[in-house]
Amino acid sequence: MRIKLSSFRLAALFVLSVTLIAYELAVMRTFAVGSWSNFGAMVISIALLGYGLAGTLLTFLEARIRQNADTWLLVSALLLTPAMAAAHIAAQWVPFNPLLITMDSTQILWIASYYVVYSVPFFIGAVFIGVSFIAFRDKIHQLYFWNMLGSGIGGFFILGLMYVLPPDRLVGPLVLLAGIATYLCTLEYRWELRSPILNPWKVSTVGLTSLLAVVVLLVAGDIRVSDFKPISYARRFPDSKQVYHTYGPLGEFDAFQSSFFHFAPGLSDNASSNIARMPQNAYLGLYIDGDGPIGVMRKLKPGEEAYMNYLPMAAPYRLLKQPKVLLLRLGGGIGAFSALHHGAKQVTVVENNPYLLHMLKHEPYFREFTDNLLYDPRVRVVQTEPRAFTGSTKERFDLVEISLIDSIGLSSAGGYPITENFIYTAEGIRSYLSCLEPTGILSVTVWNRLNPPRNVPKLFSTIVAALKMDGAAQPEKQIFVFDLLLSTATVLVKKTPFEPREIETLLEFCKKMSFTPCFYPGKPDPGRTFDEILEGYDKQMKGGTATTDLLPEELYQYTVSWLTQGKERELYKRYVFNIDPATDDRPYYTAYVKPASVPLVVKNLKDLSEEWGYILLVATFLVSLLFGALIIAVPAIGRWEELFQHRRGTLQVLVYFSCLGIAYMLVEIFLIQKLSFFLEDPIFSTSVVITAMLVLSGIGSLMSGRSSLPRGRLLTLAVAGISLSVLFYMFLLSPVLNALLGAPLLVKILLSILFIAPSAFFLGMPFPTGLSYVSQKRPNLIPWAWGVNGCLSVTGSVLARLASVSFGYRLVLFGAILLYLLAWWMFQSLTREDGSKDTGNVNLEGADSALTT
Amino acid sequence: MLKNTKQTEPFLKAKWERSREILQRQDIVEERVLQAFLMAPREEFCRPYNRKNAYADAAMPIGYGQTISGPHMVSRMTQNLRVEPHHRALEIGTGSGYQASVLAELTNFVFTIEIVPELTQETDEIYKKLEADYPQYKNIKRKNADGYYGWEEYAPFDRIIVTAGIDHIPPPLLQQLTPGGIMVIPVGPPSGQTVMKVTKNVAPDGSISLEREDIFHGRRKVIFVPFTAGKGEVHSIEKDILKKDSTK
Repeated sequence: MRIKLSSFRLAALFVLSVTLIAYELAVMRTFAVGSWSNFGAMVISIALLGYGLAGTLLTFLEARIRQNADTWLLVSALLLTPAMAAAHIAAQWVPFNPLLITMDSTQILWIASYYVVYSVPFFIGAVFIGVSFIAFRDKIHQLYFWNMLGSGIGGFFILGLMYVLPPDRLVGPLVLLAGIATYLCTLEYRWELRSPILNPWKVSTVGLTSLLAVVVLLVAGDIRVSDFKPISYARRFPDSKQVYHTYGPLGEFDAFQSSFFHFAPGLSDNASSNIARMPQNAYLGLYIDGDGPIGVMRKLKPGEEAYMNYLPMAAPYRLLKQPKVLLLRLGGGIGAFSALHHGAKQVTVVENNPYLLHMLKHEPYFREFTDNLLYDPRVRVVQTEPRAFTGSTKERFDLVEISLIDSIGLSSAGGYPITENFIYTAEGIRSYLSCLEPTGILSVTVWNRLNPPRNVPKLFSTIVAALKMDGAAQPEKQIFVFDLLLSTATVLVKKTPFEPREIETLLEFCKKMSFTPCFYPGKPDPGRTFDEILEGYDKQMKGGTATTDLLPEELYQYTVSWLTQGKERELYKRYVFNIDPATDDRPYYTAYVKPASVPLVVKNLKDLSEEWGYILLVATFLVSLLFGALIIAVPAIGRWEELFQHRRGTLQVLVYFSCLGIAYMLVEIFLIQKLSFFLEDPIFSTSVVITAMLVLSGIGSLMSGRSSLPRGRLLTLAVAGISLSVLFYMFLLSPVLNALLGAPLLVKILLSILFIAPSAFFLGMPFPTGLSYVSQKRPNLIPWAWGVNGCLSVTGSVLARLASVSFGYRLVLFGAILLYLLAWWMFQSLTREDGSKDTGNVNLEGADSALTT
Repeated sequence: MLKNTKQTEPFLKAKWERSREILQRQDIVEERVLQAFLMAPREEFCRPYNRKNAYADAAMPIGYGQTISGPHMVSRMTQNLRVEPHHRALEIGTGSGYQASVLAELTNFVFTIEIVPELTQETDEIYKKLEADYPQYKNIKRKNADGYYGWEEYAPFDRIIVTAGIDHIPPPLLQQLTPGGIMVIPVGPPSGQTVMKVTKNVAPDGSISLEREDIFHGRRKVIFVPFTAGKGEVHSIEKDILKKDSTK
């Protein structure tokens, strides 16, 4: 029985699409608050898995659905409401603990249980969308448009909700929204009455289900914060008192007062012999989404400040008198206090977190606690991303300092999540150097505790790459490095060579602090050769015993020497970890695993547990491949002859939709990653990119549906448009973004949409064009093609991330172009197989519409 | 062995097997430490839901966001402490109580501090329950406090073991460590720490040196700390220590 595509059904599809994408992002927030945000990224794959499974199921039920599509639509929409609420509540009871992931194999089962629990609502939602495609297959472009528009608006809708509701309460309104979609499904338009008719039974069932789901969420929907989240510890300190709480799209902020907070990163051991007492009650603990703490420092009394002389960040002040200082990121204020303590005449703090700034500037408690630090006439605060400031300012500073911000945002689960970090890239370092006075110093302090060392050598290679970009003739004369074993390492970089007296002063400082000078101009070579050191670490990685006297300082010295002597290629090749410079094309400061070393790292994961972020990425990719293979294979079981031998072209259909699934995600994930830096936070880039991509793709779909061009030519046009836009991303986007970094956020959002628009518009064409062709020539393949596309999108989203980390953005984008070309070829081959003379979309839809009405 | 312990056979078997692995990985290299490991009933310090896996190679939750460290970690940290029977050993972070129970097999002077009041109480009850069969646990002095400041009342300590992560070595703990004393402590950002062994040496001329060592990978580094006598309470502690040493 054919049913009519009324505006109620389109509205239902639209609202349900809003709901699903908003729910996906709400689940990501739930993960960030309750457990660990880097596991939130798997929600995308869970959602797409639900889509893939639904596609597979519908393949088998296609004939039945056609007979009773209305019921299928209503039941799936009705089930979505309780499923969303139940999945949210059930997920709170999953006892997953990433801290134990390398020790306890049952944790993998708990991850799998997240997949099971959360894939249910996405599966149900996908059934609704899939049934719509089957039931109204003659209106695919229109359906695709409303589906895309809804999904796009869903991104902004949830962003708006995050401003007004705490993370615990985000799911409630979405459940109501699903209820509205269901209600729209119950409406039927009676042309003869010229009004919709209501079925009281259906309406009351929908109303009661939605109401019940909301009540259950209110009662049992609180996010259960893991006992192992850092905030849980703060809550248990005996004298702990929460002094601040707020929330928004950038996170949930909680501050605690307790005498149990102690911070002094990199403190010299000599402090114990020279300081009578460490300052007490000097810090508040600030937690963002339960992670941290960031120590918010109070104004210390004169006698208490002595300990600041024993921190590594004191070093540059030995060379600079009353410097003008630029601090990249505020942290909890320790850098600003330290600068003032060391006599800075002016301190400019660049911080982009509005909540942190609001708290310290406007909350009376914090103003009093910090003694109005941000109102000190010597302190100036600029609210923007560090690189947005350094890329646009004309000011020059004596000191630019980045201190230990590498630990902020690191997973509390003890590993390195693989996220974009545009602060530590060669282009970033170059930008900071450009803000220095000719005799100024860039000071970077990072943690120095990994063995074999990774982050410190990678920092060296990034800094040296920046110096070389700047045309430094003798970069080795511009670097001074010191460290404290198993604690911190500090790199001082000058725009000009260090003077001998400056080196002497720094060596004296190191001696007094018991820090080890690792590299400085003129330092004699260590006794051991670099070959011995490299072999030692190689042996250690392969499971041999570590050489007991393999000290990082020797590695550091040789690393800087080789980097500056043009032997960097050999160094990158021979060292056990990836220490290539981080660049804007590959901004992964925390990605140290070489793809070829994955088996070795897996074998030694207990010793290299920090690297589970990369391994998790590889594992997710493999699992998504496996799922993809299953989704592709299952519908073919027992139907091999029917699908492949009796009817040629099925393979082309599968490859076509697989290519689209992967390639679309390669472009989308690239844009999310790349714009996270331009738009100052991943939450903005995720929302803007998802919304813009989906809405503009939807428009592309609609336009292609109205085009009178034959589908083959339309596809050629789309692939050409996509290729040109992607080539723009590959070669021109970075410099354009860098040039516009200083613009206000709203302008940057609009510019981002402008950059996304051409690719998104053309990206919206191949899928509905292919699907409408399949619906005409091979209607039985629609759900399969749709499912394969959904499932391969999972693979694409993970592959995009993995390939970006391992090979850089350009390769990812190049891969996307190749896949679209392959899809184009498949389509041309398919039309040749069919020997069809394509009539184009408008004519077909017009004909079909005439039939249904 | 069964006669001398209240432990049941399955746990003893599991413990014995784990001890073989511990020896193989060289987490323990001294017989005394191995004996301590074999004596301490780890299963009694696990929570009921984890008890059957007491000797698995894993840390396990004990509530309050805390874990009982895995047997290899406890063994390695204990071995690195090199506790002698006359040593005063301070533990920061009582947690399950298991680490202190191992120390109690090595010395009669064990002091332990826990920050979470509820956990202090729970562990206290475990010790009291076990005291009849393990009288050495009566020697474990316990309190609920902030371990950052050590336990001045009983300072100095020959050995200090810290089982909670921190971004620096707390100066008060270094001050309460005797000359020649050893501290084992995880240092690093909140996202993860590296366990290091710190040895405090004082030369006859009064100069202090600290040796930092990675307890898993063996890297070590001697750091000389200038000793400036006569300022503040730090030095009164140092002087006391030196005085005690000179009167031995």
